[in-house]
Amino acid sequence: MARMNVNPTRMVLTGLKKRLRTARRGHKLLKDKRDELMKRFLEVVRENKTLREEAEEKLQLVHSRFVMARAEMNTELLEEALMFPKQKVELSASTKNIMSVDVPVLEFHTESDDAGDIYPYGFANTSSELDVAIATLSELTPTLLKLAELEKSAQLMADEIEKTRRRVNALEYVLIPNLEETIKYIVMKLDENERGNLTRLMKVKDMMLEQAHHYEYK
Amino acid sequence: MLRINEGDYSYASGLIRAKEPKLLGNSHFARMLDSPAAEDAIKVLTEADYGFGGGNASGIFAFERLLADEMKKCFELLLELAPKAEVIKAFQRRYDYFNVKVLLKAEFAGIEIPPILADTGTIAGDDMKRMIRERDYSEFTELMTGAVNEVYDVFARTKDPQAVDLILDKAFYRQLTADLKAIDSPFLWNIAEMLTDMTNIKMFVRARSLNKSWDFIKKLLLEDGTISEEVYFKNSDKSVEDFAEDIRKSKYGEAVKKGLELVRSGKNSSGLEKMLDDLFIGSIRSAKLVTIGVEPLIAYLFAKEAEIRNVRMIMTGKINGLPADMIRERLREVYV
Repeated sequence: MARMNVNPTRMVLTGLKKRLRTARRGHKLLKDKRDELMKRFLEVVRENKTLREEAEEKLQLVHSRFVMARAEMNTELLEEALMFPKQKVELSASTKNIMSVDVPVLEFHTESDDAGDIYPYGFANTSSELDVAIATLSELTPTLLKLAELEKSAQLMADEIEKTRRRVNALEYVLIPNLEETIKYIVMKLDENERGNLTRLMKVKDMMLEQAHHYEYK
Repeated sequence: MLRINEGDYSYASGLIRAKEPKLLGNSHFARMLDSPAAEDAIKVLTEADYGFGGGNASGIFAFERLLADEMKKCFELLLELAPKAEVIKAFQRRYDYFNVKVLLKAEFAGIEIPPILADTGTIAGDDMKRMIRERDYSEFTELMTGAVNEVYDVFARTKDPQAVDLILDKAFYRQLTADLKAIDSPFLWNIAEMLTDMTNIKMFVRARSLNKSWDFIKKLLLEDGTISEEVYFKNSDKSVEDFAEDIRKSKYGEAVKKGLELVRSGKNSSGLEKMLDDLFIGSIRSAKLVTIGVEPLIAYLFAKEAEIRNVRMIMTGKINGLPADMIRERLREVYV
């Protein structure tokens, strides 16, 4: 471990000790944060997984229905049927704080009162396969939004976890050992000085005794 | 009443008879279905002389273009052959109404006009664009002008894009019936009647399965059908099976029953549409007994339409890797 380049004085020592205390406290707090984040993250991921499976299954259904609708109607008719949507939705995005991570919260409202009123086309020239595709897709919208919300949350939380973990590790394996090492060094240096001083004093005392009494300690 | 002089149709009928064997039959469709990839399936079309030829129709995704070209080719042929263009034009108007729908929707939604305008109508797509933009309805039929005005009026009040489709679809069938009834040919009258009834039945069943109210269904239903509005009204709060039971005695009874069974069995969710289409093709087969007359031409048109629908189904299925059985289930019967 690298020792910091500091003057081995008592003042620096006090300062370093203070820093070490703070670092240890910070380390503990960050570690708690990391553990809790991890717990929340796993919850989100688990929920995300079930939701994604559900969404994917339904999307597959929508896709196959659209393929059938496309097979039964020509492209132009299909485009015409869907070119002007009937239902309008309003999407509002806000944020929620999970362990200092701002995760998005998405909400949507349909503008018209009748939420089932989703078919923007006439029935004379369109295939009934299209109804099923549109209905499933409409059912799926809340799920997809929730999924987007969860996935973004998981992503943001993963980033935060990584950052926290890096901090915890930096504290645990770099800063704290460095501080400890430096403190040890300063203490040793100070002790060494102390001992040097003591010997010097003893030597001076000996010399003074000799001068005064011509006494030689043997 | 526009009278048909059968003698005028001798050349046309002869030519169509010569063309009929070239229509794709079940064996062609089976070959397309069994081909390992979409590229191989499209070869069958190339062999059958689809489209206008030329190099731009290569690649499997260009097949839509190929089919549109084929439809256009068919109309061009019929227009050239028919001594009275009105007979063919009655059917071409479908595409006029379609173009009007696209243009009005684009205008209401404030979006650019998508490149999907059909060029098989009586009025070319670009001319139609100008006419709608400049509110110049001089070339429109009376019914069409009325419908367009109604759409502007209703949309201004309700802002409901579905109204555009509902009004113009209704107007189209009214137009078709009026056009065909103006021609002295029971064969064409029957077509008008059947198309109207079938559309009504399909729309009614769909609206019922979406649990729509009678108010909405009433807006959908076309006039001039042989099944009276009363029957639809009576069944508007009952199950579709009860409805099938009620129209059992009509000529659609059998097809509706079979179609609903197909839907219920889960094998084919558009089974009703298939059964009705098959019934229709079956009924125009009577044209085969007519040696000279307008019948072969019109039958050829519908045969071509059915053929193109089948081809589209097979190609879409092939490209998206749908199981062959699923496609086979949905293929319509062919005319030949």
